[in-house]
Amino acid sequence: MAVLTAAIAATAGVQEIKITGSTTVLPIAQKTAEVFMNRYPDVRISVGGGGSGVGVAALIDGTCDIADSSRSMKSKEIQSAAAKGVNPKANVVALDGIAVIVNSSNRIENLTMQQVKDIYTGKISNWSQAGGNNAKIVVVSRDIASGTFEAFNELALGGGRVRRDALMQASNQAVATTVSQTPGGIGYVGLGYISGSVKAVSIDGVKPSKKTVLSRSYIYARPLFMYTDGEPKGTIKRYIDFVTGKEGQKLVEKIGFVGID
Amino acid sequence: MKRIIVVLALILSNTLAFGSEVDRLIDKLVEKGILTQGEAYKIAAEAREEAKKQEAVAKAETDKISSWIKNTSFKGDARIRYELQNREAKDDRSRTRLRFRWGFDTQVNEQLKAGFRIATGDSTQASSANQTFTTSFDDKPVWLDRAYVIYGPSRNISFTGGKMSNPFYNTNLVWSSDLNPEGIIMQASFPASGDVFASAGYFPLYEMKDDTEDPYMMGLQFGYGGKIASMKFKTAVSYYHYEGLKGGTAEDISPSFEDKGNTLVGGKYAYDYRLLNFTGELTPFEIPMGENRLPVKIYGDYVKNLADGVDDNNGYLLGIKLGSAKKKNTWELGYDYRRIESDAVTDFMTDGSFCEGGTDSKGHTIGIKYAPFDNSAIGVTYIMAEGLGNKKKTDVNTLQVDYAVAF
Repeated sequence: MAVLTAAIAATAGVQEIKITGSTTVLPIAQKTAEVFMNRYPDVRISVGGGGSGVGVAALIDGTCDIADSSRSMKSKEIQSAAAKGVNPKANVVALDGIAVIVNSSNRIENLTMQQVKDIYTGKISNWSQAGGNNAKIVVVSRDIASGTFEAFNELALGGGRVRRDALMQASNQAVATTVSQTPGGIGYVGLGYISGSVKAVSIDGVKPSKKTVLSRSYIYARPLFMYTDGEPKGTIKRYIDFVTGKEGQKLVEKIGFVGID
Repeated sequence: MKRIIVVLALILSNTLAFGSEVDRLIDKLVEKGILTQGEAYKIAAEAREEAKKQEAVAKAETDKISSWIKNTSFKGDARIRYELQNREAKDDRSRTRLRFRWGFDTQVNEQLKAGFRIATGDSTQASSANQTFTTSFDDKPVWLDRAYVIYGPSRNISFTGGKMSNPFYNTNLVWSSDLNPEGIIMQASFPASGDVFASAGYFPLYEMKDDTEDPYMMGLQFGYGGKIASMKFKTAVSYYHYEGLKGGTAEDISPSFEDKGNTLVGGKYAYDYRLLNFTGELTPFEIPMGENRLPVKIYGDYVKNLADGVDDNNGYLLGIKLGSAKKKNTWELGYDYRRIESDAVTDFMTDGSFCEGGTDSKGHTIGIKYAPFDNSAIGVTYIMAEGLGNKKKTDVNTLQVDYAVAF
């Protein structure tokens, strides 16, 4: 379908790129696409979200040209792609630290990895058990379809199950908003979503920042991908090169992610 | 710089054993100022992804092979036999024969299974897969011995179509153990307190080119197997209904057995065949012998042709077996006596070794087997068979010396 759309667009003199997937990568795709289309009016880029899984599935089905993903493709996804003749190529476009955030009124500044795991799996339910005030912990999480959830689940919980009473949110922004409005709240968001209304805590003494993510000293960090079918070519290559180039990376940093240039 | 990064990425993406050494190399390049930390991160992450992809694709290929292998079981056996026949009406005969069978079963999916087997033998003799060593080493044919599909919608019911292993519980009074019926059958089992089983099938016998009234057999069987204290038993009642045999030309329907005991008139079958058959076995006890326990099995079979006007219509077999020659250094002794009147059963389906096959005969079979290795046995069998005298069968004493291997 993506190929057909591209063919129709090509006959009209416009080349089309369809991007879908991770909501974390979405702002990068949206901003870079906007600037790229201004630069190259012969290219039309449509950008959609839906989550990393949705993007990867669309790439496998041939209904998009680029799949945004905040996690690495799963073995099963790679295998089903191979079965359909799709050769997923990972293009790292940015780095993201997953920041653990608490309400700005919370006096907690640092948590250990074990404490984060215990809080999210339900072993710890009160901030006093983690060195804070006597207050109930309200766990906020991304919904299970999101790449951020999967990445956090893998990096922080080691595959453990998030407690059942966690408030599941559909976006990074929703997590940040909920935590900012809940005194006992704890959540996790991409670095780009840290704002003054929430506090990002250190993990094992390391603050989430560009520097600590790049040096790999901050543990909850991950690359963000734009997957293509094989090595990018033609207009898709022009776009990927733009995103990973100086100008694109400036935009990435401006949005709040860590650049790779 | 860009070229260095591309080359490095290519090298690393082909390094499946990605580990700390590669990370150290990248760190060094960062230290030397050749790569920025961002570039290093990107190269390492993309290389990891590429390695993961290659591993996943390779695993998928391996899984594909291994799941096919896992779902398929190959089976075969080979038996070399020396046979000496002392025949009343003919000269004595000796021959060396080979029976070789090989095939596989494969689980297509949870509900479907398919199987296939080839075997030596004679295309006109369904009841034996023996191939005589003759004609100065010329190549010997193999035949399609079995080919079938089994559909099992639930654990207790299955439908089989094709050329299959005999689906009916039996002894070789009615059915040769080498015979593989062709047709369709439904089988059901109900593991209540014991094993209740039932089979119903349709088996075409001959296709008449200018007629639709083709001869066929319908078989029905109900049985029960169980245990009382330490005694195991199994029993079944069967009904085999042959339609279209009476008046059929024996030479067409059963080319090699046209004159093996059934009553023929002008080369055509004189009677119908409606066989009521009772089969059973009992394992009352086991005899301890060293590390092994030798089961004692007593078995019997009775068949009566219920069709109208048939005089010689009874058959029976009584036997006993001690031990089982399958594992290394185990042995087996067996004896049976049978009497099978001319039209008790169809003569083209019975044991081909007893009185040269067919019906209208009686006699003793005694055998001993020893397994020098696992799944390998040496056996000696002596069959003293005599014709009942009603038709054309005469006395035949047969000595068989076998070496068989199952694999």
